Amino acid sequence: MIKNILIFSLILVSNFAYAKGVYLEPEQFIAQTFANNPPKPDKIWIKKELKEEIKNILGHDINVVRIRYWNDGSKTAWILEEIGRDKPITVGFVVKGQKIEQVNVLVFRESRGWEVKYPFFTDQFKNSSLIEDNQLDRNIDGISGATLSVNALTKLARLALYLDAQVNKQ
Amino acid sequence: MFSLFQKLHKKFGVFSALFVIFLALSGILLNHSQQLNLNSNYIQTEWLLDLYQIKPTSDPVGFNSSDVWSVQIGERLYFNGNEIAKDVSELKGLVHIDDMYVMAYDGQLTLLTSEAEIIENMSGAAGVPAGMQAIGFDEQANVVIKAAHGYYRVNLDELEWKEFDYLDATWSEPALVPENIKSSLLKKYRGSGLTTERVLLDFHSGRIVGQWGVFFVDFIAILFLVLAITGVWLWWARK
Repeated sequence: MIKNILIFSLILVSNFAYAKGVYLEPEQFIAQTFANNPPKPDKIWIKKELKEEIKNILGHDINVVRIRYWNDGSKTAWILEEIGRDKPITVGFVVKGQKIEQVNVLVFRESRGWEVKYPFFTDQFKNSSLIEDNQLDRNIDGISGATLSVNALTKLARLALYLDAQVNKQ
Repeated sequence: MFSLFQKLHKKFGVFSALFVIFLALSGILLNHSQQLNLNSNYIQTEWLLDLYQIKPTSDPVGFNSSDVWSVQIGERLYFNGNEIAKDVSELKGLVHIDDMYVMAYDGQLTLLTSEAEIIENMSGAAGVPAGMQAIGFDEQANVVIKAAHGYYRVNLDELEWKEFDYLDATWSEPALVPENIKSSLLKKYRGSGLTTERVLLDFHSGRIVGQWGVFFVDFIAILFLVLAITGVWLWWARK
């Protein structure tokens, strides 16, 4: 019994110790996405009409004028940030055929809500696309205690799909 | 026994009424801190900021370019008086190139206008070299980076990075931050370091006055227990 409690405590402590931090370096995410041969990054300028739509998605103004992305002709990769509770969460998205192919939480800086890094959560976004009002075509199940992180990732998924649609329109 | 419990209930009840009201109200507020923006509302009261010792642990570090200052205070980064980033380890420098300012810190470059509008944040994925040590510019007004494994010249628009064994450049060097800028930024730093939520939580738990405050709130909680027990007993005895 005591042994089990000790093992359980150790797992809890080790989980907490690894909760915050860099899970995958952004450059590694790009390298993995494009099999170590990434295309040259392109950029999208956040013009007035985009800015308004992005504000609807994020619930606030975006704080950059341009965003880089990687496009090999078949898919686009995006590294986006959104604040969960106090600090930004950095997330990598791969979009193919207007659907999300992959989601990776790259850097998590908050002390709570890090469970969003696990595939049981991020896999929910796979194959999701945008419907009316730039909403996702499905409900994303939350994680108790990580509501703000879940919201941040959901907003970023919508943003990645929206930006992908914009660059494919150009 | 009945009259003793009655006396206890009455005395403790009157004494703890104020605390019940306070703890109930503060508890309700804390439960809705997100909706009430208590976690994004910052305390400006000087004595509270002093009590929490909200001040940077090290002296401000500043870089100047074309009369614009980029200053790191604690873990916060300011550009031209505006907070740009939190959680910053080390500001490496600031250069002014083509109507644009480039700030280097923590393996990242942030491109800004003089009005502190962020044009773009660039990290390793955009080619920013690992182990960035200094930022400068060469005679052709190219941004130059000195990093752990060499020197790099970059076209920030096209994101073309060229590596060199050595590059001569005008490097951005730390400078003494003028007193007026320093005091204004320190005021901003303190004014965004303590949330209403944290103060309310510490009042609620008693931590606002340290460990003795926590013991006092524990004592009040025990009084609530006595009230509950004596109240039920009195009701049961009357019945």
